[in-house]
Amino acid sequence: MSSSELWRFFPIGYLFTILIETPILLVGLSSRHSIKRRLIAGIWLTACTYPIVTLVLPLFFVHSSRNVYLLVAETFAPVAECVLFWLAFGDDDHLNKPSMYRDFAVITLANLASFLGGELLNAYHWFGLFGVA
Amino acid sequence: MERTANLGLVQWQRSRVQTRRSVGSFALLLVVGVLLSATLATSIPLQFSIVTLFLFAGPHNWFELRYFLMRLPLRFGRSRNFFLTAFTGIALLTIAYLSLPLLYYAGVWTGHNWPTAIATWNTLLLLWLGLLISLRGKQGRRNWTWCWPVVFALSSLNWLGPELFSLALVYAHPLVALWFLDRHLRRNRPEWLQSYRRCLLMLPLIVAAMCWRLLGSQSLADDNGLAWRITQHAGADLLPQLSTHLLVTVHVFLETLHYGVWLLALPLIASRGSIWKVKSIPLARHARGFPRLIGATLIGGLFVVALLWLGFSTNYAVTRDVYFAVAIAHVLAEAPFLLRML
Amino acid sequence: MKKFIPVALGALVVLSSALYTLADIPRPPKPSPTPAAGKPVLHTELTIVPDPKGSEARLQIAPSDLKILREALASVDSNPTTWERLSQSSTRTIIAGAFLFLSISLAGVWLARSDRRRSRIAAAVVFGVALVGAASMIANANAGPPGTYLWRGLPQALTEGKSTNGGLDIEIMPEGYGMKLIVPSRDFKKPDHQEE
Repeated sequence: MSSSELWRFFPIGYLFTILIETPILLVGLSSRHSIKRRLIAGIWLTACTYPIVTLVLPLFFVHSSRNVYLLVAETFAPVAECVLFWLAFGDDDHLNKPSMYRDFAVITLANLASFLGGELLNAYHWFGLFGVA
Repeated sequence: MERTANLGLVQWQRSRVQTRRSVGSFALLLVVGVLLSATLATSIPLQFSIVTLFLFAGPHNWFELRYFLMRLPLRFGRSRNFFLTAFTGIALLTIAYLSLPLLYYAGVWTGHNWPTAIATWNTLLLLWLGLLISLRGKQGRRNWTWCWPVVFALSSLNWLGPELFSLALVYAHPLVALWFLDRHLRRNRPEWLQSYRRCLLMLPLIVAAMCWRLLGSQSLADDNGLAWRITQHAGADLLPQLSTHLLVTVHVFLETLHYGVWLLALPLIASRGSIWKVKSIPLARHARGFPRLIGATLIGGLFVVALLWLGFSTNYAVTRDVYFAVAIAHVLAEAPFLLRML
Repeated sequence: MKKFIPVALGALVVLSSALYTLADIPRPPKPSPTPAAGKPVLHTELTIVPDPKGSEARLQIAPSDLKILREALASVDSNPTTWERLSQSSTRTIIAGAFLFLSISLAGVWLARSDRRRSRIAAAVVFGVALVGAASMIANANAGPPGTYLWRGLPQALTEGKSTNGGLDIEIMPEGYGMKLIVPSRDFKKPDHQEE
């Protein structure tokens, strides 16, 4: 895909991703986080990593196999989101506690779900919306 | 007793009337000045651009120099890091800015990847501004670290369209003077501040009126080198879908406001004493100051202004190119001094 | 917590910079039974105008478009290195994307850790920049309906002698390929006069 096609995909893909990830975060994050915080996390975490996953990495790995790109992207996204989530909402009281690990696991699960959702739509060529092979 | 009380009351009432008159005169001057600039810029944009640059470019830079000298502290003290960053940034960014066309004309660089070079320079500018804002925030014990997300967001926009970003800076720079004026009115003439801010609301309306009137107008004839330079500077190459009449009009209008602030408004409001009196500058007045250095700098500045006028008279186009290349230094210098006002 | 934040920030920076070290992963050799894919160098617009009186196909380009095309073609190299392959508008997109990541990340962390009043002011500033950014993205992406939608009426338009306008990607192909105009026909509407 060319740069302009990636940019065109960016807002649609972002909306699709947060529609999948936000409900998972709403349900799965530990009880110390308010509903407002979970909603914000659903929108904000994806907004942070999406430029890297959708714009930067595809162009970096344009001449590499898709598997390499997916490996890097789907490792970067959950790791970066966990780090950012902790920087924003973490505190010393919950460091190394079960709630922290639960939050990280849920963020990783949300990323996995959006990845699988994306692969499913790719299989149907996004119903003709984009020229994705 | 009653007469004494009445005397106080009468004086207070006279002072109020005087204040209202001065506010009214100030607002009237502003409105007349802005409307006159807008009218001239719309009707004779190229000619107005040539004349205003010739008359006001050099003098406004001299006034800016005097202003910056006025604002420099004798000892940096807690502001050491801030000024060090400011002056280093001004020097390095100016050298980098000048080196690009010099390398191109010297045949060392082909000009390939020009947008990337511009984007890199713009990024360095934004990072420098972010650093200055952070340092200024720390000085005032304020948390201004929010500037970094804004800097990175602007950097992202810059890399999407570096030449358009640079063009946006060309149009935004004249507006910085209006911010300087706002801060000085707040300090020296708070009674004028409200009128000033109300008059500022005219600006977007005037620009909108210019767009409405000139959007479909014929582009200016730029078949000679000078007219071509003026239209290119206003963004003709980057925005070919817009009439150059509109672009040049808006640009020269904003530049005229910029000159008006530095040449008229700020000297009248912010100056303490005659502009020719070197001793009115704290750095020269202080017992451990540098009166001779400051005096020499100001006199040297006057020579440069005269040289600029000579250059414009001899070869306007080349002098214009040289001036706008070198003048980046004064644009950069405005940033730290504006931050010092905040 | 105080020690953790710098460590975590450092990890974030290392993660970001580690992306660059992965650019040198050697590409596996690819057999190419099918013609090599073209490399897009420019996205613009094209209007197809049927000419009942013409005897030869003509390609008409405005001087401004020719200038843009020349500049796009001038940046094409026949044997680019890895960095040169990336060093067209891909470079700018990569760096823009990286800065966007940094901006949104830092904005969120700052807002989450700030008091309410600052949060409101900062949220307004970030929203303003995001709005401008969204506008730029839309402008950069030539946002609009996809090409299949715009070109779907071409057969009918050709039958009626009308023009059709849509997006155009100019791609550089391998030597010997000649020149072809490929129009997405996936959603072509059959002309009215044709029966099933």
